[in-house]
Amino acid sequence: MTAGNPSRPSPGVRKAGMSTTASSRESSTARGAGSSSAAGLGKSDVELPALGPLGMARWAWTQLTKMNTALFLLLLLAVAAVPGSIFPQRIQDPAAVQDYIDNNPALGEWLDRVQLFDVFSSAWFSAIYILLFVSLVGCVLPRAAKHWRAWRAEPPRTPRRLERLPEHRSLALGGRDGAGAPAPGDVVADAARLLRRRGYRVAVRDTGSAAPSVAAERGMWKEVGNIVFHLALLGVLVSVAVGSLFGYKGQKILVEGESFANTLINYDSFTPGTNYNPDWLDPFSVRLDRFEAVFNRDTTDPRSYGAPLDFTAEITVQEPGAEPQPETLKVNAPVNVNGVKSFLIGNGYAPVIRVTDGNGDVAFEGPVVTIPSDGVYTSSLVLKVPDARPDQLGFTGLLLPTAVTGPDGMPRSVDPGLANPQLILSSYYGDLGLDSGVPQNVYVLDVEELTELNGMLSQSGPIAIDAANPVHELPEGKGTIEFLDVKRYVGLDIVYDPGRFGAFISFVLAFTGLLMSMFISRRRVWVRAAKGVDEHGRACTVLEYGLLARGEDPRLATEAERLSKLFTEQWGTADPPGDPAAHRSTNRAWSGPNHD
Amino acid sequence: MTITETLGTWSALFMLLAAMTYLVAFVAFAWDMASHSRTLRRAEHHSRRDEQLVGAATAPAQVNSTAGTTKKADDSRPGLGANERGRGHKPPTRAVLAEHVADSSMRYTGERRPAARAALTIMVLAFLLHTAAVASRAIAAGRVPWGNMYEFATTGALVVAGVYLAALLRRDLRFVGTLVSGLVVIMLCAATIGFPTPVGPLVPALQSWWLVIHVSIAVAASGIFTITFAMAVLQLLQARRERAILAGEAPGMGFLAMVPSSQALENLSFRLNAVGFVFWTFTLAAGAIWAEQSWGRYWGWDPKEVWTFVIWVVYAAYMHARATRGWTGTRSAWLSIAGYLCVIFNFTVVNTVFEGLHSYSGL
Amino acid sequence: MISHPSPASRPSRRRVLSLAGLGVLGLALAGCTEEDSLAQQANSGDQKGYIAGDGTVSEYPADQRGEPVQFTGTLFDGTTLSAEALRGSPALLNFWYAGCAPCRVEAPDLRELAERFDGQAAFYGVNLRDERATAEAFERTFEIPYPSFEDKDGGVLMALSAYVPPQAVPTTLVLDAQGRVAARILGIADRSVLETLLEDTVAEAA
Repeated sequence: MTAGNPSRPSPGVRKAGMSTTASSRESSTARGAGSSSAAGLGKSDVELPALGPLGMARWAWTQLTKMNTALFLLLLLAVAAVPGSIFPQRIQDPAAVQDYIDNNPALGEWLDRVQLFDVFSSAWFSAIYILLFVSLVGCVLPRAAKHWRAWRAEPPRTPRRLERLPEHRSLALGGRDGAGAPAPGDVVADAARLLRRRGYRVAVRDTGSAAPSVAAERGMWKEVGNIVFHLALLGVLVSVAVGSLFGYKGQKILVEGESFANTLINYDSFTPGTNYNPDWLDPFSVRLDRFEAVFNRDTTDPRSYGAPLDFTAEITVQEPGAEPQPETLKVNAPVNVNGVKSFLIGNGYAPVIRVTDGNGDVAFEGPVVTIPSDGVYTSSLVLKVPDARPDQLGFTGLLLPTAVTGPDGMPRSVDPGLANPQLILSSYYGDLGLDSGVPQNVYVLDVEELTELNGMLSQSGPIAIDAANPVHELPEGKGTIEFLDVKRYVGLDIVYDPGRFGAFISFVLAFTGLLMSMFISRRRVWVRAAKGVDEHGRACTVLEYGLLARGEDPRLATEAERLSKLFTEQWGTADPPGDPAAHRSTNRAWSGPNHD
Repeated sequence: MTITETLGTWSALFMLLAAMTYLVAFVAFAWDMASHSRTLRRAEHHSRRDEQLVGAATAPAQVNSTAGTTKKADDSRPGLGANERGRGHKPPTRAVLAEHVADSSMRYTGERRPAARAALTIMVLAFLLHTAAVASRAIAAGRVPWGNMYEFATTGALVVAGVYLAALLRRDLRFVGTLVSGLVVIMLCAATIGFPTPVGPLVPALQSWWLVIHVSIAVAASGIFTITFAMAVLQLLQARRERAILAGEAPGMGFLAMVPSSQALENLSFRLNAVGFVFWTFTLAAGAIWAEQSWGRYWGWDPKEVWTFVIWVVYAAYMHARATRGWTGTRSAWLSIAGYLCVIFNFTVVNTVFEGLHSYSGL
Repeated sequence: MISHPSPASRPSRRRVLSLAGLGVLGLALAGCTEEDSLAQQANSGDQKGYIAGDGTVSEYPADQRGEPVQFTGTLFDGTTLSAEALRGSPALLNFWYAGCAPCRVEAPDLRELAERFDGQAAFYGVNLRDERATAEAFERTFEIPYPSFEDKDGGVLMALSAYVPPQAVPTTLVLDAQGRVAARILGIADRSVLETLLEDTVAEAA
C-alpha cells in the first residue's frame, strides 16, 4: 500500500515470470501497463455478481480492499478532517462550542446535529476511518500471507530472455590466449556464492544442463516494512482507543498554598474515558508551594521587554502512606505520579479580597482566580458573594498587575509583573441565582437581575482599590470591599492515558516500517552461463545476467555495475597478467541489444 | 545599540540583500530558459532538416547530439526509464517525444549555457547572504532560528534553496531554477512583509529540545515539498505539451524543451516526495511527543494538528496514487500540488486566523 | 428515579463492561455509547468549576461495608477531630463549599435533618475550598447547627477516598456506628431519601 510497493512490471517483464507475485490489489493496478492480462481482470471488474448475499458481500469486500477505494477513502478522510479546524471542537474547548451555539442559535443547533462540533468522534468521520482500516487490513493481511509464502518459496525461475530485463549485461569469460573457459556449472556456483555474500537469497537452477542459471533476490524486508507500517498504524488507532476508553483528563486551578486531592470532587472539570470509572482515580495530592514567573527584564529591546521567559511551580506531591515529595513543575516538564501526569498549562493572579456585608459581617474572604487576557496580565475578575446580607453582592472588573493611569485617565496595566496591582471593579447587589441550584459559570456574572452599585457609567464610578487605598465603601451601606494581597495560581491539566505507551511503540514500529519500505530496494537477479564465442570468435563461457526491480529503484543500474565489477574481479583474476586489454574486453564484452 | 540589536539589524539587512539577489537569479534563470529554449528549437529545426536529407533514424537525445558530446551508448540505455513507472509511453511515442524534451536522466551534458551559469552563481551568492542573515538572527536571539513565523519562513526558504543547490550537484535541475528562486523570493517577501517580528526570546512553551527536532524536520519537509510542487507544475505543463506534440499540434511553451519529459519529472518528484513524506511523518510524531510533554496529550485535534494530519493524509494518498491505476501522471501531480497548497494553508491561514495552541506566530 | 446498585455487583459489572468495551473499540470511538453524566458535564463547557452529581444513592448493606474509616481533621474553630471520635453512633459527612449552587439548595434540608436527628446521629461538614470567614458566612445564612472541617488541603478527603470516594459536590456520606460507610449520595441529597438512610442506620445501631 505504501509508496512504491506494489510493483508494476513493464509488459515485457510480466511474461518473464513476475506475475507470480501480483496480489489482488496489485493486479488491479498492474492493468495500466497494458499487459494481456488486463482485459481479463477488467472484465471481472465490471461483471455483476449474481451470487446472492454471499456473493454480494464478497463483491463488496473486493471493492473495499481495492487500492482505488483506499485512495478515495484517504482523500475523503483529509477532506472530512477540515471542518474540525474550522468549527470549535468539544474535545478542544467545550466552552467555545457553547459560545458558538449561543451566538448562532439556528446554525449552531444544526451544526451540532451533524456533529460538526465533534468531528473526530462523529459517526461520519469514524465511518471513514473504520472503512479505511478495514480496507487496510483486508489488503495487508493477504499481502502478508503472500509475502510469507514468497519468502519460503525459492526465487522465481529464470526468464528465458534475460535481455528483456531492464538491466542486462553479459561477460565473456576465458577463451583468450589459449586459456580454458571455466565450466558454466562452476561459473553459476561461484555467481551464486557472490550473490549470497551480497545479501541475496539464491537458488541454482538447471544444473547439469547446457545453460545453468542462478536466481537471486534481495530486499525481502521492504515488503515486511510495508506490512509493519500499516499494521502499526492500526496499533496507533488501538492505542488511541485504549486511551480514550480507560484514560481521563481533568483540570484544576490551584492557588499558592492550596492543595489538590486526586478525587473527582476536587476537580474543576473532568473528562473521563468512555469506560473510565472515577473510582479508579489514584489517590494522591499536590500542594502548590510557590509559583514563579520570570519576565524579560532586558531593557535593551523594548519590544520584547516583559515577555515571559520562564514559569516554574514548586509543588509537593503526597501519596498515601508515603513521605511528601517536593517536585518542580515546568511548562515542558510535567510531573508523573504513577502514570498520572500533571501539566502546567496556565497561570495568573488571584487577588485576596475581603467583603464585609451590610450587616457588618465578613461574607467572603479569600483568593479570587482571575483570567489573564493579554501579555501584561490584564485579568478579568468575577466575585460572587452569595452569603452577604441583607443583599447578595457581585463584583466584576479587572486586576491590573502594574497599573498606570494613561493620559485619557483610564488605568491600564503596562507590565505583567506585580509592580502596582490595582483592582478596577463594578459592583452589584440582588439575587445571584446560586440558591436555585442551577450551575453557573464561575467566570461570568449575570447582571440582568442585579442592581448596579458601582460602575464605569454609574454616579459613584468604579471601585479602584490598590495597596495605597485598599478599602472601598459600597454605596447605600451595602458593605465594604478590601484588597488584601495578590497570590499566584497555576492551571493544571491532570491526565491519565494508558494508551500513551502503546501509541509510542506503534509509532516507532510504523516509522521503522516506513523507512524500510521506502529505502530498501527489492531486486531480482538472474545469472545464466553457457558456452559461446566472444567478439573475436574464440570459444568462451558467456555469463549473462539481468536485474529487475520491484517498485521504485533508481539505483538498479548502479547495482548492475557493481555486479559487473564483482564478476569481473572474480573471473578477471584468471586473465593472463600484463594484458589489460583482455581484461577490458571481458568487461562488458558486448552490451545487450537496446531494449524497448 | 547592543550586540543583539546590531546583529538583528544586520540580519534584516542581509535578508533584504539575499531577497534582491535571489530576484536577480530569478531573472537570470528566466533569461536562460528563454535563450536556451530558443537554441534548442533552432537545433531541433536543424536536425529535422538533417533527417530529411539523410533519412536517418532520430537520434535518441537531441540535446546531446547538438552539443556534440559523448556517451551515446549510455544515453540510449534506458537508464531511469527502465524503472520508470506511471503513465508510461510506448517506446515509439517516447522516441517522438525525446526530440522535444530534455534527457530524462537529468545529467549535465557540458553544453554552454552562460545565462544558467550566471544564474547559478548569483543564486549561490544569494544563498550565502541568506545563510548569513539566518545565522546572525539565530546568534542574536541565542537560539534556533525558527521560533516564530518570520523565522520559520526565512529558514524554510533557506532550506529550499539549500536542497535545490545540493540536488544540482548531482543532477542538472537548472530548469526548475526559475520556479525555485521565484518561490524563495516570495517566501522571503511574505516573511518580511507579512510576519515581521523583531528578535525576541522564546515563550516558555517553546523552550524545549523538541523545538529543534520538530520544527527543523518540518522546515526540511516543507522545503522538499516546495521543490516537488515546482516539479509538479512543470510536469503538468510538460504533459500538456506532450499531448499537443503527439497530436501533431504546435507544442508551444518552448522553454519546456529544456525540461525533461513529464514522466521523468514525475519519477523524480515521487522520490523527493517519498523523502518529504518520511520527514513529515516524523514531524507529526515528534510534534505528538512534544505535545504529550507540554500539553498532556499527544493528539488533541488542535487546528494545526488537524492540518498537519490533512497534509500527511494527502501525501499518503499521493504515495498510494503512484501504485493505483488511473491515478498516476497528471492526477498524482495534482495531488502533490494539493498537498503543497495544504502546507501553505497550514503555514499561513492556520497560524494567523485559526485559534489554537500553536499560536506562536509572534503577530 | 434513584438507583440502588449494590456495591458488590458494581465492580464486576464494570469489568464486564470494560471487556465488552475493548471488543467494540470502533463503536465506542464512533460515539455510539451513551454519554454518562460526567461526559455530559465535560462537554457542556459551562465552566461551573465543580463536578456535579446526579443524586445517585449507593447504599451498602451491613454485611457488605468496608473497613471503619480513618481520618483526622481540624474544624474551623480549631478543634482537631479524628474518625474514632465519631464512633458509637451514626454520623453524616457532607462535602461542600459556599459558592457551590447545589450545596446551597440542600443546606436547609440538612439543617432540618440535623435538628431532627440531634443526639442520634452526628453531623459534620467538610469544606473543600473556603476560608474560615466565607464558610462562617454560609453557616450564618443557612443557620447550620453543626461544625465543618476545614479541608482546603484535602486531608480528610484523601483519607476518605480510600473507602468510598466522594465524586461530586456535594457528596454526603452516612457512617454507621462502627464508622463504616453505610451510604453515599452524589449530588443534591433528596431529603426523604437521606432521612430514610439515617433512620435505617440509627435503627441498626440501636
